[in-house]
Amino acid sequence: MKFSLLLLMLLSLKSCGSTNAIMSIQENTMQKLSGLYSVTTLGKNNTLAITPEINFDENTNRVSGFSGCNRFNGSYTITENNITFGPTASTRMMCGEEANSIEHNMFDVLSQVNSFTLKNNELTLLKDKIVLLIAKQNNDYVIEYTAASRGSYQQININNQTVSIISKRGGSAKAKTCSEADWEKLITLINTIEIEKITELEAPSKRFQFDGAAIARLTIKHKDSTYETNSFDHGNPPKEISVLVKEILSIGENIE
Amino acid sequence: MAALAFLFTACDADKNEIVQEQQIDMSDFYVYTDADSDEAAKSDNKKNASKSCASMTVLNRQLNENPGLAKKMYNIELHTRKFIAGKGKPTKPGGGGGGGGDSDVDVAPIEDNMGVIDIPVYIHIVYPDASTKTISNEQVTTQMATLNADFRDKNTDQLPSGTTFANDATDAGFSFSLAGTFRHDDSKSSWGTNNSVKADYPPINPETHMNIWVCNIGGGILGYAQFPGGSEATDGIVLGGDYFGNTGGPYGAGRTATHEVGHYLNLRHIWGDGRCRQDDFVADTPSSNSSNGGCPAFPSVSCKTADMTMNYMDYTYDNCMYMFTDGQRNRMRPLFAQNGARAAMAGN
Repeated sequence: MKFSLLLLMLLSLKSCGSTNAIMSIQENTMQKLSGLYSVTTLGKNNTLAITPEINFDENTNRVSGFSGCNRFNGSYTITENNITFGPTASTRMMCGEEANSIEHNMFDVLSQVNSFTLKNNELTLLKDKIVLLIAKQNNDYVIEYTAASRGSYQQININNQTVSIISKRGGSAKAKTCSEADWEKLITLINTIEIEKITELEAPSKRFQFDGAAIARLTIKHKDSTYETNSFDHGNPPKEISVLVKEILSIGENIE
Repeated sequence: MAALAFLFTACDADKNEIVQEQQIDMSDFYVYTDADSDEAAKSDNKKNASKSCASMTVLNRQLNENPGLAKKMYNIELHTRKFIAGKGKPTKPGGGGGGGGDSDVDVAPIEDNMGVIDIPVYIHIVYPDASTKTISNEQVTTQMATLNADFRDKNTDQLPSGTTFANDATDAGFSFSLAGTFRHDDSKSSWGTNNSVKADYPPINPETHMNIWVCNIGGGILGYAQFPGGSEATDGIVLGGDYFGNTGGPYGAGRTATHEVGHYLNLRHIWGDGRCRQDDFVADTPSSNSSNGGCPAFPSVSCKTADMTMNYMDYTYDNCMYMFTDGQRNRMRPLFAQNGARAAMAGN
């Protein structure tokens, strides 16, 4: 994926050759396709009454989403800058005329596109250099980690703008800007876990029950939903989220 | 393996119990080793093999580390509930943690004819300089006094107006007598919470005496305990010296010991270590979403009711906690009755 993007950008570099393009090569090679995108432009329509969504998973090459009325899923294939979508399965609900029309256009576009670009969290799907769809990566995550014992308290809040830390119960927060590199790392890690399922994770140890460890919880807010883990020992999170927690703590530590 | 099988069959065993004798509902019980019987059974039934295997691995590892612990804790819980039920009280101490509802659940103290139960105490002070310069004799004396007061006093005069907690505050009926103090010079500056201080300075007569280790723990931990049913080699509580007896600051009134002795006597944190629906197995403590800290003004509301922030099993400051409830008392005392986990301590 990175390689194909690089190729893609080299091609475009050749055609325009500006220094701006060189800058964007470095940014874009960092970006991964995995994640949830909200469609902003469909065909010539950029004032969509309903926002379709597409979710890419690079690990499985599966795509899923909301096509305006129904939910769909299917596969996709990428070779270099080319992308094709396989047949999609979909729920079969009927909606109003507007939703049906958007959905019809969505499937029409997905069946036609043959290339893509990904730049500054914006995904563009094209057919023979004609833009058919533009979507913005949806990364409005809010991450909250708390660890409390009777004698200590730590709360780390991170969103795409700010990292803030509270080190005393009811205390005020110290904040700094969340760097793009840190945020990118977190989003990549979040994309590797199923956030809906963190609420079911079982703690590998429960020493917090007799004060042998601070009691910790991880909360991820995304769009209108909040996903909160069960309590676990600070220092021994469930393995599914252990790398993410380590990264959160490391970003939180660098604030002081 | 036997213990594992036991976990999966726990629910069926309950049903048999019901037929045979009094109804003892154990369905809400969980042990601290890991997945409770309910969840283990659930994941066992799941089609998703990888998830099932993951929790099995964890369960297996922990049971291997301490075989039989889950079963011991289950048996202690069953004994506790049978004992309380035998005194004609409700057998399922849910209620308060059952997800809101009536906040004013009143539990009557059980009549167990055991009177005031005396617990003899050994104290092991472990510091680079373990002399009275580091931990004074006055700290030892004031700590014993605090334990003796907290497990006998109702302190209802300290309750904020507007609470319904006055009828819950209890005389738990325990006294503590100092059996001996041992001072060990040890250069180790931080002991953590992995029981290493107990390995280096083993407990004395843990079946009949409560052992308290006083050392620097570190990591923001003021003290830690072990539930009944755990290994005798590590039975007892550990306290940081800065929080032992009357010292200074918000944790300077000796209540860290009161809280840890609560765990030692089978009490869970008052918020049940989980969200609203996770129970502490005590009916007259209101359900709570998480720990409270500092010195909260009343009412501090979570799960639609006022939290009992002044309970010794919350995380509030020493001077802002001052009560056990009747339900907590009823949960501690069966340990000392015949066949209880700490029966030998009371000569039963």
